[in-house]
Amino acid sequence: MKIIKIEAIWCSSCIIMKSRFNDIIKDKNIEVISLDYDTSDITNYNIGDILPVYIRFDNECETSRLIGEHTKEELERFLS
Amino acid sequence: MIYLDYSATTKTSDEVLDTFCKASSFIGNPNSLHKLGLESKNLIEASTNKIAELLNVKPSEVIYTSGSSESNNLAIKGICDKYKNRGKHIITTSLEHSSIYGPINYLLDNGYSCDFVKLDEFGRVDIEDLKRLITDDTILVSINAVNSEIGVLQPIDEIGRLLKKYPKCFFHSDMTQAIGKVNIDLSNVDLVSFSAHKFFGIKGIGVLIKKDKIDITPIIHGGKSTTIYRSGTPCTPLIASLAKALRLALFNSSSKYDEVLKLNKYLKSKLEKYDKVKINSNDKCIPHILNISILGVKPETMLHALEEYDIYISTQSACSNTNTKSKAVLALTGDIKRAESSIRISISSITTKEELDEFIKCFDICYNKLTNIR
Repeated sequence: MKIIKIEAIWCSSCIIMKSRFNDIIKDKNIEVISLDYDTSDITNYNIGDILPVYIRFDNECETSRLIGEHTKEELERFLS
Repeated sequence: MIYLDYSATTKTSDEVLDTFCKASSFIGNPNSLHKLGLESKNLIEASTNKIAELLNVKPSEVIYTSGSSESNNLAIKGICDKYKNRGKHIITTSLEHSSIYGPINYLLDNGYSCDFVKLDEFGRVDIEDLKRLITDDTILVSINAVNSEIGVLQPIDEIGRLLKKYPKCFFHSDMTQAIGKVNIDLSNVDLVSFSAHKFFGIKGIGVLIKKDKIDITPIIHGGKSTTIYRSGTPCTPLIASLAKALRLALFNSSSKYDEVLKLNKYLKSKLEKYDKVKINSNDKCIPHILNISILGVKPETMLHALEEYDIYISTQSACSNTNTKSKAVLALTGDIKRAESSIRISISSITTKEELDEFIKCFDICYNKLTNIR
């Protein structure tokens, strides 16, 4: 599994989700690519105005997205 | 022109500009030993003493910065670095400016953690939840005095008194939207940020008040400036102009507040008559900010429609980077339709009833045009 994570430094939801995300993935073998909303090239990902955005890839195909603030349980389900 | 975006910035007043121009003739570097340097140094000292007197703090507690964003960064990063051996936990709210979230996000990538305190129905900090969140690891609580989008006024003194019981934990408050508008006792706050351009001062200068008993790590290292906490040649005219702007802002402040309150009530009474207008600012908000939603109308559409009449309002906070949705309105109302359609009308002590009448007349035209399209 690969996760593309799109955040912005000024985003409060990204702060809330960051610790939940880091907590969950520390014991998992997941490749994480972090992109910055303001400085990275994210044009190919069709991002709206709600952050953070987690894009899940399985076998190099996008399978699902999680957008905005979610509970740890919801994030866990997304990453399972 | 009708300017109703005073919370974004204000026009520099003629008196402040005059002080700036006069102080510009003090050409010496205040760090120079010669007479010209000494003259600049004396002017800075007199300005600092005035600022300290007006805010009831010590002159040694005034640190000059480039503005509130720098003050917020200096406070948050400065405390977290200096006291990292005590703990690495920060508490804040969901109603802060992006220059609070930026440094916290940076710190999160460097081993710190952060929690958001719950808010009550008015958007004020839930004191019980704050108590619950404070741990042995908590070194900083950062809560603004007034939210920039909706205008929620936080119970700063109550929070400050609570935090006094936790000597390991420091209290920072971003008072950018409060200083010069509402009187707040700074005695129970450890660090306070504000900037001059919000109260008819010049853009490019701000202050961090840091109480003497506290230490911080500077962000900008170099030679001693007016303090050891922020290096760089002190800008004599900007400092003098800030002292002037603050003195003028605090002069007669309670009657100016009452005038703004009267204008706010008048404006609110006119706007709440519209079916699709929802008032997002509540009774706990300062009267200088009136945040409303026009259901079904995009904020930027209304902004540009009013601009056609030379009227200037704001969508969200001017420093916000997201496009359409107001996080603050969403946090307060829980209503995504309101969050997607909110505008901020911010008034000041120089706003007149005539200006508001003209605004209401033009708003009526824009409202009818934009709500009838759908």
